[in-house]
Amino acid sequence: MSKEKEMVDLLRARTESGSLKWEPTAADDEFLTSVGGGASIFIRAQTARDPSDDTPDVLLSIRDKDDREVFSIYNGQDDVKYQDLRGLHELARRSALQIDKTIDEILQDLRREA
Amino acid sequence: MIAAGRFLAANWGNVASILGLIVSLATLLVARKAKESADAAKAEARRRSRAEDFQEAHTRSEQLGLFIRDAKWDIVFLRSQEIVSACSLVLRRWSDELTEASKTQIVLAREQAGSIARVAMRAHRIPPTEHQVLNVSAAQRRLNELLSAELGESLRVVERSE
Repeated sequence: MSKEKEMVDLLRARTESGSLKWEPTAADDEFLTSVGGGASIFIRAQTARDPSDDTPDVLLSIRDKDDREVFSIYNGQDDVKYQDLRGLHELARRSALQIDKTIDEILQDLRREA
Repeated sequence: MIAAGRFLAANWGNVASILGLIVSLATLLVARKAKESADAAKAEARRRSRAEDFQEAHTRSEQLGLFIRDAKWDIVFLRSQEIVSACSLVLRRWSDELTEASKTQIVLAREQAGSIARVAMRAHRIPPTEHQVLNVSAAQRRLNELLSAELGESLRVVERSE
């Protein structure tokens, strides 16, 4: 397994467990997190050029502590598949927008009123 | 009195040595106290300087909110770039004093400012949609929140040391 694949898998696992938080940025469908050593990780879904294509391009990029982009994966590379990035983007979106928390609160309220 | 005089006459060298030693110790003590005071003043000046750096970045972040509201994208771009630089400067200048949690907060603030700058850079060619403006505004609020927390922490450190 490549380092890139391991990193994406760990990002997915930590996001799923809630130990890694993402936050939205000023750009549409772009999420940001910061991990050890001052590096920051962005994941962004870009709307496909063809409107009938519902699989947006996904870009994962890493900036080092000096704010230089040092690494990026666009739509998968070697053993990091497009689906891995798409899955990570979806998890990051749920984390950043606190979707689960919001749904849980709504459900709790609805159940109480029922 | 005569005995004391005889004693001094017989042992003047030893007495002079002891007096010299006392004077040296006193000088050393005064010098040490002076160094401690100078170090404390230097540390205090550094703490204040750090708080000033955060204050400056925080003020810019507040101004950024007004310029976003007024859709002055050129100034939004300029101000957000200034905040990116200010955060980078803080991270480099205060690297030893900042906790890991603070470093993470400042990195996030820098990246939020950078994301605002990227949107603002495109805005004079393609005016942002209402949805994009809302995203930029939310990013500015988050930026302000991150910088406020760090400013508060640095002011707390200054006040605690007073």
